Amino acid sequence: MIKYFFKSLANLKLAIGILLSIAIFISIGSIIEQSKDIQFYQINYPNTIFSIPFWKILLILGWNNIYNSWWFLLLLGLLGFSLACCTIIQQLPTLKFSRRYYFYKQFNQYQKLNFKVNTNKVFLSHLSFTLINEQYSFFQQSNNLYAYKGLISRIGPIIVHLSIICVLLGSTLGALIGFNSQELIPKTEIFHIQNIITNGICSLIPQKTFRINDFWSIYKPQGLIKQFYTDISFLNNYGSEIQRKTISVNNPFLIRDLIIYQTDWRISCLRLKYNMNEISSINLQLPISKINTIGKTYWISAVPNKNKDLENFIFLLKDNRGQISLYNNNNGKFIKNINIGDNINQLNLNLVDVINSTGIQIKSDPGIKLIYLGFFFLMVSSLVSYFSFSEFWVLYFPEKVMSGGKTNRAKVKFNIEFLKFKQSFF
Amino acid sequence: MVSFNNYSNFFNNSIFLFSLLSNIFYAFSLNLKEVNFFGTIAKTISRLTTLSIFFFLFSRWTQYGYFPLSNLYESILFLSCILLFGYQVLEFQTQSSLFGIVVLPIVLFLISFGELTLPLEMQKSSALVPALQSNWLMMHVSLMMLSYAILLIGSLLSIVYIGSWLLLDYYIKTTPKRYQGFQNHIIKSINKKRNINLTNNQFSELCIIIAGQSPLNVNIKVMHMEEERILIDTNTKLLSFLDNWSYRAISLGFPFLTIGIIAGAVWANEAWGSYWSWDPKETWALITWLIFAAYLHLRLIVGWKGQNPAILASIGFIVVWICYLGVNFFGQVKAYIVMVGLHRL
Repeated sequence: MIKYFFKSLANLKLAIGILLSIAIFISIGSIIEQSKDIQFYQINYPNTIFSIPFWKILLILGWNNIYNSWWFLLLLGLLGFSLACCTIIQQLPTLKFSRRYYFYKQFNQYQKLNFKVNTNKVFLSHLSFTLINEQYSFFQQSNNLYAYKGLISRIGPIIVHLSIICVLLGSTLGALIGFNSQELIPKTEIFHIQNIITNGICSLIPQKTFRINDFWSIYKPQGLIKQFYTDISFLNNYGSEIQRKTISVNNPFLIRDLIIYQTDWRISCLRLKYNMNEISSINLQLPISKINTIGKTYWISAVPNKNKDLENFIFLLKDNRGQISLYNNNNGKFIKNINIGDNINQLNLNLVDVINSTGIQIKSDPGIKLIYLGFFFLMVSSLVSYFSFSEFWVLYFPEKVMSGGKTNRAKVKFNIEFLKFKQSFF
Repeated sequence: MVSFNNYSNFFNNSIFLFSLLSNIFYAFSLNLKEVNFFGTIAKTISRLTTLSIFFFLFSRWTQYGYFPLSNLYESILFLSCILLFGYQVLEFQTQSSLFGIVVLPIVLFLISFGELTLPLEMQKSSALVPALQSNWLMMHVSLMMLSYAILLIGSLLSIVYIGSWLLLDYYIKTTPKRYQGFQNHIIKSINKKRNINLTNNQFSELCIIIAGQSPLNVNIKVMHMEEERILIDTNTKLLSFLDNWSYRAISLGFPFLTIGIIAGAVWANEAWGSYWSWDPKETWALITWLIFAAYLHLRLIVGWKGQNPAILASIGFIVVWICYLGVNFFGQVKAYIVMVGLHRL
């Protein structure tokens, strides 16, 4: 009973059915927008099917969150099981089969082969020389001869299956005990992991301390951002630095099981200094807000000024290069560009710094090693599957010789090899 | 800058013109098989198209300093270049002009989509945002393009297979009907010439008598069937040729697709820490992979041949197009752009 169950799981048609149904479900998932609130579906899918609103059917079927629904995960699990069963029940035995060199001793076995020769004499020494020249491994047993080449292509599909299982297991592990958090930290500040975006059932969030030492961006001549960098330190419980690295996009920081990515950035405020007289001064922090226009982002702020007789200013920042454009708040006219350290007109205001925040993502995914292992072997094995597995048999008697061969891929190449073998037959 | 614009205009126009001309000449060579001249011209012009796309992309590479796969326009040209090159390799190997006839309309479609409908702003090479500056991404995009091209050729051959299979099926089914028509035609012409009134039954008796008397034992029915058999034979050969090459192309393209998807996942993991986020582009790449995986299993393990896998491969053809272009018109794709723009927080 159990054996029958596993055998039916290993059935190829079932596996193909699973593959195609996964394909259909994920295509639905890409068409219907995922993980929105109920109102969204109510507005977008109001039509009725058999007098039931479509959005209700959608929610009941779990199509609003296909990729995390229990039946989709079950389907993926079923695929994994099916692959495992197929590998254990079907693929591994055939591998053993081909390693135990396997002679064809009956004439009718030769009838099924695609390439065959029937003659009455064979020059075995010449044939074996040709076989060795073509890099075949061959075995002889009384009047039988068996030769094969490219056993690795037999292993290829097994590795493919095993690595897909690896990837599935790794992603399960990641979903169970991994987490993902995103933080927006002003430079020079110390922080913990706080803003968790996703986490699994068994995730442990480590209470580690980090410090953003600095954040800066570099630009191309045309004014487009080239790369942004965050200098980040990993601190111990006493606040002293253990590790330090400058991260950038595509260059994350690995600390044991945590990975820190550079993702976003933002200007959070302007730091100004108001010189009341020659001795005393006040430090001010001016909040700044972000404006998205078509394809461009600006940061804007203003100096509040209650004295009507003095000028009002608007500050406009285009990027993170430390240059600020000043505009007149009354008539909106451009006044001038100033840099960090400059004084702002007659007001005794001095621009001390532009405080920016770095957006970083901290992730822990214990499954990633397994997944990368799977990826690596998947890449290797998909190349290995190009090799063809070729076999060649001879059965000879004093007056009669039967011979044949087969291959699973490069038929043309095998045809040429087979012509060479034919020369040894008389 | 002006000179560069002019020269990219020149390339644009010549690429479009060449692909249009080679299409026309391939169509001519299909219809006028006895004139070799058209085939030669078509081949030469399609070589010219390949070369001009290649040089155009290469010049963009040297001009802007990054691999010419930075936007949709360049990827369209890149894909057309690989498609052209791939079909020319096949044509050289098989000496059959079929591949050109099948592939060139696709190339023309791609090129006219890229050059006529994409706005000029999108044709210009734009600077790469930081997330796109990755070697994994370059590997990902170029392998994906390569696999798309090879899979497109393979699945296109499958569509042609289904078309010619349906035609052949119809032809075989209508054989008795056609024989009836042929017989009627002969009877009619005999009646007209001899001024007699021969019925169907009398004619068949007559046929048997004639067959008995003639030294070659010629039977009109046998003659007719022989003619039909030759036609069916050539068509069956064409079918098995199509089936074989479609399978070969798909089994070549599939590993590239696998490695391409993996390179993309590795890049995504390096860039923003998630190797798979189910955005439509990823999803459809996976759907493509699943469909062709099913196809290869059906062929290799179950041993199916002919129309059933071909139907699956034809579905694959549509899916590749959705994956490459169609996804851009989906609602959710903004998520992709947003991610690339790194404004996820």
